[in-house]
Amino acid sequence: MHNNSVLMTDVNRFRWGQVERKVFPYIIAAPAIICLSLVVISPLIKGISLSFFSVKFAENAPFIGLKNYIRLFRSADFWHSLKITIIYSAVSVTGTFCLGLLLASLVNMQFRGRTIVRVILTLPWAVSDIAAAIIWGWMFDYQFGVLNYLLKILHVIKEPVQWLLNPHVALWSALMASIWKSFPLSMLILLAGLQAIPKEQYEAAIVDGAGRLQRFWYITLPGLRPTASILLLLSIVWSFRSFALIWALTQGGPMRATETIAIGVYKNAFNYYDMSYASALGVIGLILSLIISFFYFRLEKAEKLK
Amino acid sequence: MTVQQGTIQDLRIRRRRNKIVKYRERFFSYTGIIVVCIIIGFPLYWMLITSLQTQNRLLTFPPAFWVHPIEIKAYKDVVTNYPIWQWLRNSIFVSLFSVLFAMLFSVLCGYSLSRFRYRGRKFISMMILLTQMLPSTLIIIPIYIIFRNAKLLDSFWGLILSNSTHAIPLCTWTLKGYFDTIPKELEDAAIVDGCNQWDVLFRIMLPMAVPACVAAAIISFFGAWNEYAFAVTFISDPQKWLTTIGLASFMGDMYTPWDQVMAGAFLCTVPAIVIFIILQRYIVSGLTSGAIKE
Repeated sequence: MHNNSVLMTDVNRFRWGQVERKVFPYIIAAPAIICLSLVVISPLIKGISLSFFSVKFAENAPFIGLKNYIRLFRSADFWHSLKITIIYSAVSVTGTFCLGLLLASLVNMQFRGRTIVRVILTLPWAVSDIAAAIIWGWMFDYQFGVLNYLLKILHVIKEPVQWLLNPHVALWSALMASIWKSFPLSMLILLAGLQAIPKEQYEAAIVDGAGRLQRFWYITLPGLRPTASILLLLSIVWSFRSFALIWALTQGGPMRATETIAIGVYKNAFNYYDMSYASALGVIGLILSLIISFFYFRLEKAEKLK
Repeated sequence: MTVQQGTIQDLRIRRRRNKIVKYRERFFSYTGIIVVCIIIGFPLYWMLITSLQTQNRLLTFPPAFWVHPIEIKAYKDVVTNYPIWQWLRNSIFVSLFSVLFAMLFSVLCGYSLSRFRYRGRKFISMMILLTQMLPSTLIIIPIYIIFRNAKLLDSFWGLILSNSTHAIPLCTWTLKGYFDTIPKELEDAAIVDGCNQWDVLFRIMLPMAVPACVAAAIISFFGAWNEYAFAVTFISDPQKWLTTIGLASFMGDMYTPWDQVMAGAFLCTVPAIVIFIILQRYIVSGLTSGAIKE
């Protein structure tokens, strides 16, 4: 009798163990998936559908099809926004990547105080977008800003520059602040990538007589390729999202000189209360991201086939 | 004999020249490093200086590069005029819970993706990658509407939920990459010893993955601490303002008290910087594990 009950328990435990083992990975992945579905996927679908209606902050919205998009494509502001977004992304990603690569190579070398240097160089990332905007806003100040003063005594400029007030300069000021703020993450990721390149390759190259530039070109760059390509993809997508820094610096001004699509979406949604128009604009931003991702995956496939 | 003497002299000359080249290289490298640090760190130095400046030296042209006398009146003023401590408390609350949930979900999901082969695994990976790439500008509007209906608007928990979710993709990816580098034999040994799956995860894998955990925690903490767009859209009660919302409110006044503004910015940045300095050495090692190689 005693034996029987033990046997029953064993069988039960065995069965439960089998089922549990199969279901376990699903169970533990579930919370993350549920969160993503709730907070990202379903709002995404809702946002896309919102762009096909006419919602002015009210819920009862008539279906208007593509009218929002037609209005978008007809508006000169939209094409201007698109241009600004592309310039902003291109320059910010290139700048962040190059600066990140340069400084990652620097920090990768062995020298005394390496850790302190790395900490100092990563500090811009620890500062919030808003704090960065405040600091740069103060440095950019027309009358009392330190940038104008420094450039004047270095004889780079004769007249003080209206960094944030001149529509021609404002975008570049925002880019300066943005690159300062975002390069540390690129630097860290590239540093991780650099450290993953096996040292033997460098040693073999030195034995073969390769100079520094050659070592960089033939070993470092190819070794970094997987890291760099994903970093570039993420950088581009993140640059489309960039909102807080520009908003705090210029609110998209002066005269829409810094109004990227992200800023435009926010303005239309929460300043003009035209949520559906803003959603349409957001969908365009989404399409841009998807196009970039599509090209990225195509390139990756081509590389894999090589 | 003469040939040998010539060779030895050549060697000496070459060695000395190499030494000089080496010293010159090192001098330039160190100077370069110092210059770079000064340029990058200058804005933060400027923030500190401005906050400690006396009123009459504040708005002068040419601006003063050094602080003398040091005056902390700005800090006293900004703390009295604005509820900075409340902003800090709110931010710490939201950030800590965001990190907690982000880490919990990411560790579970990363482990699932790393160690198991099951139907739908590719789909989950794809979904995580794609959500990483979506512009949040599009979804802020529907989330606003959804949260409004769910009464999560103007609540810390709504913000915590959205912060955690935004951190999940990158954290999961980092953790998965790190888990991938841990040899499977350890797990197998543990199972043989009688551990169930939860034990394996929490008692064995997790302690081994500490660098990646810290890196992921830092990333999600900064994501939450510095978050502005969602915070300013969802929170309307001034009592619930975070540091980012509070700092942003400084801008746009007709007259900006720059020393107070800088003092406020400094106070709101210090916790993040302190945490960062303490934990920074884990970032690179956490990221280096091949997580990036995909």
